[in-house]
Amino acid sequence: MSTLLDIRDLTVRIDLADGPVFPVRGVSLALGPGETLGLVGESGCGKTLTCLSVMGLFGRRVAIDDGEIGFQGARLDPASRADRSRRARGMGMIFQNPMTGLNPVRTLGWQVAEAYQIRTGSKRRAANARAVELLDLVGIPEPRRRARDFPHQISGGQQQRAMIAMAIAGAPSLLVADEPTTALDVTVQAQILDLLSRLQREIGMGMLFVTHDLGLVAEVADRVAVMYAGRVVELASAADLFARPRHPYTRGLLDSLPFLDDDVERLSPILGTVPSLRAMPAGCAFAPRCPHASTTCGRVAPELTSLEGGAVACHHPLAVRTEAA
Amino acid sequence: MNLRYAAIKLLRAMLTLWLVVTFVFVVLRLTGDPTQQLLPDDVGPEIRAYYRTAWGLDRPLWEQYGRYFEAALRGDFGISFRNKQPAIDLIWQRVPKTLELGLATFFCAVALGIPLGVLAAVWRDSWVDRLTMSFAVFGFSMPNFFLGILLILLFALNLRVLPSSGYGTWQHMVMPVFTLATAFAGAIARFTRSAMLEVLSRDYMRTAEAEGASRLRRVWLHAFPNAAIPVVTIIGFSLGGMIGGAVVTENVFAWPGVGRLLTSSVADRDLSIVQGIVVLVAITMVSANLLVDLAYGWLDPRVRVGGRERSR
Repeated sequence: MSTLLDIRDLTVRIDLADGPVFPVRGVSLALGPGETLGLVGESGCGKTLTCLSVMGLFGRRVAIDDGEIGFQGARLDPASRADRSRRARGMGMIFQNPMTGLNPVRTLGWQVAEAYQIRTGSKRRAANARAVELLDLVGIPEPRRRARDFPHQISGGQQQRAMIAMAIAGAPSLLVADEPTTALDVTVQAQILDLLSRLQREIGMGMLFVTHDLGLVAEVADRVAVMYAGRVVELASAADLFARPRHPYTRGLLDSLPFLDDDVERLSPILGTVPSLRAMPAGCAFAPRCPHASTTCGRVAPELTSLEGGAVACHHPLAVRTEAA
Repeated sequence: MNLRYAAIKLLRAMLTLWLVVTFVFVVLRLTGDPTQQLLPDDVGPEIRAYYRTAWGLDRPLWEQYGRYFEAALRGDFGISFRNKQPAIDLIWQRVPKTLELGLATFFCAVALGIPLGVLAAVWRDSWVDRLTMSFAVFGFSMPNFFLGILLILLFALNLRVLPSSGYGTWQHMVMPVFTLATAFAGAIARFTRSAMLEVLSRDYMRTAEAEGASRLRRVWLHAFPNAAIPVVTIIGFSLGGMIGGAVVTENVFAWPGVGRLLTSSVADRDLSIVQGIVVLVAITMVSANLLVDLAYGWLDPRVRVGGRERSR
């Protein structure tokens, strides 16, 4: 399988006033063309920073400390201008909050046309015409008229559709979707997911789908990477992950979900809290909260090791899921 | 919708002007009998009475107000005591000269202040930022009379390259424009910088970066139109103050504008001229505010669409 996106040992550093912290530590992920990789984890686990690293969007004081990102077979250099445009041409990104992600003083048509123009290098007139088609493609009614609207004049769901139109303008081969439905109503969420899956099929894009919602991941992703405290702790096909979680953290996440067909009286949350970036345990970051932790877990950080089609970073991976006693 | 917004703003501007004109009338009546102030102490009561009749001061107050207001509408603020010409004519003679100075200052300050503010924001915490902001603080806090005198010392007395004062050639404009523009440009640069800093950290700037827009594009096509709103506000206010605000600088450089007329008229107690200038300054201020309000409607689509959807 050829890889579209190949992240190797990515470590992201943020320079704070009192020294650097490393919110993403040694993350390796691969994504094939047309494939959807779900990236799941709690807030602050580094999933958004991973996306931003792929897109080359670093704020002040944020930098790739180590590792590399390969795209379409060639390594991306964050400093290179040519690579910037390669990235812009080949990747599109959807952000969590469409209300703040769209420019309030520009019309939707202007924004979509600009994205198209930059990706394809086409003329403004052609881009304007294409923008209307793109708005139509993402299911915005009366696209010709809406193209002249400003973001505040349409609903949140429509805004996210416009955002998607911008991201897919010029048919990039990779779509990075960072919590694309979190800011939306539940009914709208389903529509947006359908839209994304449809567009992905039609355009043949690979998709990196980031969410904290395991339920969503089950619906859209082919494979899922679970992140905890800056590391990938488990990697498996979506079906396997839900049927046979190998990492105690994944298991904990699944147990804390309400399933309608489960006959449990109360949910079981994972006890404890995520360790702070300043006080990462020397060994496994999950060890302080893990019911299976041993002395080894406290001292040695587990490597991500392959295991029957997936991979898990745990000294004591769980066996096949046992029925709750 | 658009028209309604403009109409409301226009109506408010008229109301403000009416209040100012009325206020001027009230204050002038409150400060006592003008004949007491204007005529020497030793004139007889019959002469005083003559002037009171001549100026209509013996009329009931509402009638005086009516006449005053009606005259003010025609632009008639009475006769200058000093040289017996209509006050408005004397003021009008000075207006072009003040405008000349004001417009030159305005363009220099905007052309300097906005790019500097934008650069300082884009390269924030760099030497560009520090240099620009030092310049801004310097321009902003340096009193005009002091800077003006320093310039005269340097360029007129020591280097002898520019005329120290007066009006006529472009050389005469250099120092007054520089003096006025440094303060104004400093204010604009500071406002532009802070407005840009706020906008640059917004989510939509990241969206623009994600789609691969070049830095130049992001700064001028994405960020600046958003930052322009507060910047236009400060520019508008300063533009209004330009007519009356050049008083000090006009005096330092003996520039024959409205500002100098105002100081000399105050010294001579030439009340009709003072009154006319106060109203004129009020009109420019109110017009500048009106322009700013209308510019909002043009710059910010959220205002343009209608009164009800505004979030401010």
